[in-house]
Amino acid sequence: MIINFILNGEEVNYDAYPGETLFELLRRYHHYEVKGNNCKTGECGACTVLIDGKPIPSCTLLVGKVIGKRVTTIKGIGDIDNPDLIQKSFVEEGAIQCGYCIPGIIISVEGLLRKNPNPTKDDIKEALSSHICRCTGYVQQIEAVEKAIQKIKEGK
Amino acid sequence: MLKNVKECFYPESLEECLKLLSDFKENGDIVGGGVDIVWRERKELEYLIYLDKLNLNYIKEDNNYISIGATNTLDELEKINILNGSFRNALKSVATPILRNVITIGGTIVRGYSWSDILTIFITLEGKVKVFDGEENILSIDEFLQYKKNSKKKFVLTEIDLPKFDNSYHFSYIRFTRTGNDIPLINEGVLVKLNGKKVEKVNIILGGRPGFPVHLDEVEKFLLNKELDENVINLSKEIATKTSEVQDDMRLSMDYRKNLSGVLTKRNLIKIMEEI
Ligand SMILES: Cc1cc2nc3c(=O)[nH]c(=O)nc-3n(C[C@H](O)[C@H](O)[C@H](O)COP(=O)(O)OP(=O)(O)OC[C@H]3O[C@@H](n4cnc5c(N)ncnc54)[C@H](O)[C@@H]3O)c2cc1C
Ligand code: FES
Ligand code: FES
Repeated sequence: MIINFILNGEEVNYDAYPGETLFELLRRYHHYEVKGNNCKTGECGACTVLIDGKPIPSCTLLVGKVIGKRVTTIKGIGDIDNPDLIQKSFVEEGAIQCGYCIPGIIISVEGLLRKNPNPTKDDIKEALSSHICRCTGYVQQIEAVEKAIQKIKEGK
Repeated sequence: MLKNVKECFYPESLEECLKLLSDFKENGDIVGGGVDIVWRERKELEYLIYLDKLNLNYIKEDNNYISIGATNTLDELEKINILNGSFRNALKSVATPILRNVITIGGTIVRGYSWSDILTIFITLEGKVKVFDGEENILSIDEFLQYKKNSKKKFVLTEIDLPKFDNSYHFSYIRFTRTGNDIPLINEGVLVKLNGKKVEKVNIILGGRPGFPVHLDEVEKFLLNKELDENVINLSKEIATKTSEVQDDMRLSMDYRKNLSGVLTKRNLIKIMEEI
């Protein structure tokens, strides 16, 4: 089946299997777009993407639900040459070790800040609670989000 | 990947949706959020029927009810500001934020896991569901669970209605889990209506027993016409521990569940007492 949606700002059409998830589709066409292939049940958060601005685990989302939607993957947020402020703050705060969980976390933080530009620490913790990170203790990640909020406010 | 799925459908009316369900029999099913459909990987599924063109994503209210369309995701329900925010807090304890952005209220009630937070919360709050099976049926959640078990008819759950509560009502919900994001090992919702300081009406619903949620009848009877104080709450805890009908399963022993039912009852009542 042909499905069309907006991927990182560009209209795309893909030939999809009707029973596949967005995660599987993105992996087939752009294997670098989403991290994961991990729990595949929505529990670990590694494969999270934004769908119309809301963070959603792409491994639980059937392609039939994506038609006409705006999909943002980590590449739509920033990359190694042009990291956005959240990504920069994560690097500066030492909030990344192996990095496996980070794209999903950055996406959730982006979703949080779009909904609520002034989150409390509890709001940040709640957003991060969707994600399992085996390496860090989450503390630097919370600090990185707070730093990103500061940077955004200061327009840096 | 649901390997055997051949086609997706987007019916534009409930009648069309029912016809597809009837034509495809066990080879077709509705997709709400799709989380359960993806997770269970049912081999027989060949046709997916999406509800996205049925306009079931509304939340509206009249004088008596808040009506919630079945395709609302759980995060959308967090906008419903009732019962001093305790309804929202209960919803926020379910799964994780990213899952709440995709799980639908209709899909959760129809799937109806006996440990489901949503079943316990909505039974406590006396929610009703609208089910279309050729005609519209309005059922309590308990009636719906029976309907689902016994009726051979194909159906679409279209709406969930919550009564509007005035400020004499107080609600508290607690889930007991191994980790914050785990599914509940046991859960309990309490709704109290006060007349002055006395309990005029009370629902205490225990879920994940591991069977379907039930009323703790003896505690409810005990609490009627009483004022909530430390002594009454401690006695309620004892009655809950003694009379709750719980079982063993691989995740928790019967004894532990019995003790927990007392503890959850006490904690819920304390939360309500502190709110009054
Ligand atoms: C990782 C994980 C964690 C979870 N944690 C929790 C938790 O903490 N608490 C909790 O309560 N639940 C939890 N769940 C369970 C979740 O609520 C259910 O799996 C729920 O069914 C998912 O909703 P959905 O909209 O995605 O359902 P779907 O997968 O879309 O549908 C489930 C079933 O309902 C049918 N259906 C859907 N909508 C309708 C409708 N409107 N009319 C008729 N039939 C319909 C479908 O055909 C299907 O059979 C969890 C699930 C996962 C995978
Ligand atoms: S791989 Fe999707 S949430 Fe874990
Ligand atoms: S940095 Fe390794 S899993 Fe999070």
